[in-house]
Amino acid sequence: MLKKSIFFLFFSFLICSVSSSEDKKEQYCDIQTTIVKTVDSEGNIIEEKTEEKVVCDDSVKHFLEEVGVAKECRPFVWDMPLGGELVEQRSIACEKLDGSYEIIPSYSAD
Amino acid sequence: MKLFHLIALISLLFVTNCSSLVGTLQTEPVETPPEGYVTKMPKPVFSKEGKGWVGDLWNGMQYVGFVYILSKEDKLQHQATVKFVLENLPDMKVATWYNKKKKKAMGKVRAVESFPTGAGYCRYYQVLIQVKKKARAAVYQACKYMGSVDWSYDYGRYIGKQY
Repeated sequence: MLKKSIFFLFFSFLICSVSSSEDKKEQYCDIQTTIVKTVDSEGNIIEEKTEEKVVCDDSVKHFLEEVGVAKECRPFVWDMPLGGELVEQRSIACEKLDGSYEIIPSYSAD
Repeated sequence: MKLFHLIALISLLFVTNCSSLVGTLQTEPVETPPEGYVTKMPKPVFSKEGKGWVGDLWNGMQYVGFVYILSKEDKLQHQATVKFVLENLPDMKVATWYNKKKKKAMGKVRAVESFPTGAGYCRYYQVLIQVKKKARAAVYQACKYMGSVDWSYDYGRYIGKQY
């Protein structure tokens, strides 16, 4: 009976650890730590506290945005007249660091 | 003699057709740097007089005279850029497309003035296209009318009168 209980306990622990590692893989939130220091006019620290904030980011970013070439990339939809009909087209425009925009080449899709 | 008349008529139709694409559009030549692309848009100089004729679909005039030189991909990129600017960007914000392959083409578009009309709103937009060492610019007008899905573009023969 004791053996069975120990085996059951071990088995549950194993399942628990596997499921928690799965959670870690899918986790997209992070803890952002900020140290807030209050100093007086002479520079003496009056108060020091640490603030923790959970920051989550599950948005899919374009690689140009990821590497810091562009501020923001966003898809846009436009209609192209084709054979008397309007055909919906999709493209991506990235706002560059200088504030201008660039249309990503070869990203137009039918 | 009849054959001559027929040939003359066909020639006339051909010339008329060509001019409706590129001949009626006056563009402004832009100086290109020794290497690379034009970085700044030239000053948009355009006349508002006679610019009230808007109602055409997207056509070959939109490519400032490079309609037969640009590739299909370039034209699609340019069309996407114009639509993006018209729909998303405030006046004077520039959007660019590049094709760094064989022909080294580039295009810049920016809206220069926007105003409401009784049936919707219109925007003047400046286009610059560079293919290798040649670059040209022009100012176009497009209007979006209430209930209409797509933009209406100007016919072109009134464009760039005062360049």
